[in-house]
Formats: sequence, C-alpha cells, structure tokens
Amino acid sequence: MKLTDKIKERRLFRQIKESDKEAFITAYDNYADQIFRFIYFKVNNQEEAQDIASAVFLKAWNHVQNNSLTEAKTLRALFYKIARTSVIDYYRKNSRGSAISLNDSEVEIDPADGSQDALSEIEISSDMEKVQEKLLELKDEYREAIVLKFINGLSTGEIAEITSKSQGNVRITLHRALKALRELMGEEK
Amino acid sequence: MTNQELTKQLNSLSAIKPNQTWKETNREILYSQISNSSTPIIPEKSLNAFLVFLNNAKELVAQPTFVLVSIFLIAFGIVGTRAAYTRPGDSLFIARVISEKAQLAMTFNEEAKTKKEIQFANNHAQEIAQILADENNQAQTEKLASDFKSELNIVKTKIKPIANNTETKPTDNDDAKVFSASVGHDNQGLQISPTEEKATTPSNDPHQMIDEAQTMFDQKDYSGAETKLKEVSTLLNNPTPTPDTSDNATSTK
Repeated sequence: MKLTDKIKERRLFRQIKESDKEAFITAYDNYADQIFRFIYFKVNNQEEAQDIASAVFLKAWNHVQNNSLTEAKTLRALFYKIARTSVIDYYRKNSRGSAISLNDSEVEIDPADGSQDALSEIEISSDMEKVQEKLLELKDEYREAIVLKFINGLSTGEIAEITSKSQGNVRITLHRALKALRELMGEEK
Repeated sequence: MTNQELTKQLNSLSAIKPNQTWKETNREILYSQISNSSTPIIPEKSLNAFLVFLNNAKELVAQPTFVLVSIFLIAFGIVGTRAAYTRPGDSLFIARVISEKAQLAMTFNEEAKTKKEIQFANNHAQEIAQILADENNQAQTEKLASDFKSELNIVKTKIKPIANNTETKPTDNDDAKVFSASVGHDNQGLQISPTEEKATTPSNDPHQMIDEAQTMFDQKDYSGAETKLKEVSTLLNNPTPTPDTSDNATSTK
C-alpha cells in the first residue's frame, strides 16, 4: 500500500472510531470487493459470500464502536480478521469442510482490459477458470495465502497481521502454496 | 509453468467482483443499520484520536526522516541557547529576540511581564552603548543609535504604568506628620527635615535617568549612557522605599 493510501486509510479508521458513518460507507466502498473475493474463495458460493460480507461490515462497525478488536492496526486488517472468523462461524453452522466444488457461474468476471477482442477474452476467461479451479483444490491455508497476496494484493506484513503469523512464516507458506498450485496446474499437462 | 506466469494468472482473478446491485443495495442497508446503532461522539475520543494520529504519523514516517527532524529540533534548541549570548548587530540576535518574546508570552502576570519588557529593552540599550563604546564602528553607528532610541522609548513607555502605581500609593507619612504635630509637643513648632523630593542629590526618577542616558548617548558618551542605564536597571530591580518623614519630625525648644 502506498504511503498516501496508508495515511488516507488511517484517517478513515480514526473517523470511523469517532462514529463517522460517511467514513464507514467510504471504507465499505473501498473494501467490499476484496472482502467479497476473500470470502468467495473460501465458501465458493456467491450468495453465501455476499451474505457473509454484509455481516462482516456490520460486525466491523460494532467492533469499532465498542472498542473491541483493538489489536487491529489497520482498517483493512480489521475487515479481514472479521471475515476469517465469520467464515469459520459459517462452516460451523453449516457443518461443511473445506472441500468445495467449482459450480458457480454467477460470479461476475470483469476483465481489466476492455479493449481486447472477443477471442482473447474467452482465452482469459478460460485461463482464469482453470486457475480458479485448481486454487480451490488447495488446502485452505495455502489458498488463503495466495488469495490475500496475489489476488487481493496485500503485503506479507499485512497477511502476517491478519493470520497472526510471522512474516517469515507467511513467506514460507506462500512459497509452498505456489509450488503446490504449480504442481496441480502441471498435472493437467 | 514458472512462478511469474502463475502469479500473473492469479492476478487476473482480481477481476472477480460481487454483483453491483447487491453492493449498492447493501450499502443502503448498511447505512441504515449503522445509523440506528450510532453512538454519540465522546470528546475524550478526539484527544485519543490526536494521540493515535501522532503515533501513526511516527510509524508512517521513515525512521531516517524522524531522526533528521529530531536532529533539526535539537540543533534549533542549541542555536536558541547560543543566541542568548548574542548582542545587537549579531546574526543570531534575532533568535534572542524571539526567545525573549517567547518568555513574555509565557508570563501571565501583567506587572511581571512589563518588568521583563523593560529589562529586555534596557539590556539591549546597554549592549548597544557597550558596542559603540568598545568597537567604535562607524558603519553601524546610525543603525545602532536608532535601535538605542527605540529601546529607550520602550523602557519609558512601559515604565509609566509601574511608576504611576508607585506614585499613587497612599503613604502614611502625611498622617504621621499631622499626628506628630498635634501630640505633646511645645508650641515652638516642629522642625521637619526636608523631604528627599526636594534634595539636589542624584535623581531616583527612572524617566529622568533615561533622559540623562539619552543625552549622554547623543553626546557620544557611550560609557556614561551604559552606566546610567545600569542604574535604571538596579532601580527597577530594587525600588527605593519612600522615605518615612515621621521620624524626622523633631521638636525644638
């Protein structure tokens, strides 16, 4: 995260702590997509992911107002921590394991570059589906690290704070996760 | 497949987003939910927020920058201390003036503040006289002479309220004279020694002393002007008590 973005985020966090509703909605606009993505790659169901994401933001507001979860240094870390615990609660309620199947065609995929032709878009979509499929076959710890780092763009330090691990541990996990995913991708070939 | 190719494909998955309709609807719902559960802002939170901001600012700023800023502040403090020993005309004299103004700002008692102002101005005037007496620098004479007059004007202006306060204070001496005159003395009258106001000895009036210093300065008697101003300083720091004429009242036969 750039320095200016960090400063903006901390200002936002401070305003939210002062019960600034507008600031919280701004935070929602900033983080809704990535929180949804994070949850989606855990539960692999768009509607469930949206429901859980809704609950995450409301819980985050209540936590901040009640001054709990004070160990969260940043607003983003707070949202992710709550998202993780919410997913765990979801698993307990639904008694589901981490095994998930890719059977959801309703997720919106918005290619970043709209100038590409139709054939390229299909190829991109196909590659994305392949990676997504293999990603879901990874164990939860590896998948979580990859989603946070390579899909949502968090730093190693941020991932360490969210997962309550050391940065070294996170780097090792990422290395092993990529290796495992590469092996899965290679199995098809 | 290399790590780079794999990470590139993973990056492309950031295109996955929630349904926009859901996102907008949820925003409205969320806003109404937090509005219902909003708590009033506690004033202490603002102070905590400020402290948090300072802490965060310190974390955000790179350590070397923080060290540089600290060094700058320490250096400024050293310069400020060094400036206390500067004299009018020196390059750091402005720092001394700033320091004196800061001292005045921190003095809340009006009388003490006025006394400090007088002292500072008097010190400046003394130093100007000293510089001109020691260095005899013609290039600075005009400027320093102008500064000298400015400082004396400050002293005169500020000394008035204090002088008025001492002049208007009622004394018991007049009452004592009357008392002495009416009790147990014979009719040959009383002899009251002349008061010091009528004495021809050197004046204790600061205004007069300042005028004398100004005259000496104009006559280029810088040492004399400096000495006179030192007497003013001594007088201000140790004001002479008004003479008690009741003891001088004697009866003669």
